[in-house]
Parts: sequence; structure tokens; C-alpha cells
Amino acid sequence: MHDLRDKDALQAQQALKIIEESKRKAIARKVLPNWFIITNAVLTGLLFISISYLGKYGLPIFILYLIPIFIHYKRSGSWPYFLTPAKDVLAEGVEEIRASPIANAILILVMILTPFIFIASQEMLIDGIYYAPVVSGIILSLIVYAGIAVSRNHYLKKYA
Amino acid sequence: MPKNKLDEVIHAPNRLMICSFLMPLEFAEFQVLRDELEVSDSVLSKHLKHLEEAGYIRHKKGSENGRKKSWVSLTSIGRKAFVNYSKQLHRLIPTNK
Repeated sequence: MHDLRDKDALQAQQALKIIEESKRKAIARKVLPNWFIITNAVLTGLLFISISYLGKYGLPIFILYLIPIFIHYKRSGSWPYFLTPAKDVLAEGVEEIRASPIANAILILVMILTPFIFIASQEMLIDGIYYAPVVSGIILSLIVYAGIAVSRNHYLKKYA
Repeated sequence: MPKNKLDEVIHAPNRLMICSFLMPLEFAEFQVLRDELEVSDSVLSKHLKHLEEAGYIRHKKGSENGRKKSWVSLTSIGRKAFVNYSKQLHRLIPTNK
């Protein structure tokens, strides 16, 4: 009786090992590639510049965000993990993906700082500093790049 | 199926690999699945057929850029079966209390 139970337990452990390995392979496919991070950062910068400097083209650039998301979806077979509903993540709570606290802090910082950067760049623009919105856009791009990269590395380290 | 019996459709190692690989994804291309699981086309097809017959996966065929391709995804029945199977496995492992 005990032997039978031990055999079942051993089989179960082997099966769990297979599950773990295969899942890790699949999760590795969900990792955001560098081109995705760079494209998003550039688009954020462009969006900022277009709104603050040109005052137009905001919507078309906003729509452009969908392109890298769809390319990533087609290549990896999954939506970027920040778009995945928490309940679907990794097989119904087998393991829940939590975002990196640093990435969250950067995201909050971007949301708080963007209006201030926008106002400051507009004031500088009035004062004749024409490159202010461009510089602000580049800074915003770099911050967004750092945020997504931190988030990606956190995901890689913890789940892949 | 008896409550304490493992799902035989999933339990075979190759099918277990297929299901676990598909679980975190919405879908996977046949070639990707074959390469990641390191099995031959015929072996993969055989196991996919088995899973499809059980209603656990959906196998969609089509073409992309003139090339024939196929995509595999877990159905909701398959996902539920896999979750139950995982729970069953955990139950089989004695806990040290």
C-alpha cells in the first residue's frame, strides 16, 4: 500500500517537473523583446512632442501603439503581460505575476511628471526655447524605456 | 472520471508538455510547439489529435505569406482539465506536517 502511494507521489513529482519546465519555456516567449520596448519608448516621446509642439497627430500616434502589441501577439502567441488579465495569468492562480515595485514607481512617476513637463515645456516654448518640447519628449522616452526594461527584467528573473 | 484518478489524456508526458506549454499562452504555432518540445512532426500530430478528440485543444489550419501554417490553443475544457489535473498531482504528493 505504502509502495503504491510512494510510486504515485514519485510520478506526480515527475509530472510537476515536466509542467514547470514546459511552462517556463512558454513564459520565456511572453518576455517583451527589446524592439518592443524601444518602439513604445519612441512612440511615447513622439506622442509628447506631437501634442506639445505641433498640437496635432496625437491620435494617429496613439493608434500606432497597437502595431507592436499585435506583432508581439502574433509572434509569441500571447498579449504583452501587462495587458493580460490577472485571472488568466499562468493557469488560474498557479502563480500570479506581480509587477516590479520599481517599474510601478516609474510608471506613477511618469503619470505625475508628464503634466508638469508638459506645462514647463509650453512655458519654455513661449519664452522662445523651441527645443524644450523635443528635449522633454526624449526624457520621457528614456523614462518609459527604463520603466518597461525594469519590468521586463523583473519578469525574466522571477518567472522565466 | 473518478475523483482520485489522473486524467489519462493529459498524463502522457508529451501531452502533458503540450498542455503545460499552451497554458500560459493564447495559442502556439505548430512549428514553435514542435521545436520547443523537441519532438517530431508525426509525434506532435499524433498527440494533438488525441487532445483534440478529447476536446482539450483547438487546431486551426491556415496560411501566412503563402505558407501553410497551423495554430494550436487550449479550449476552456482543456484549461479546466489541466487545472484539475494539477490539483490532483499536488494531492498525490504527501505533505510533511
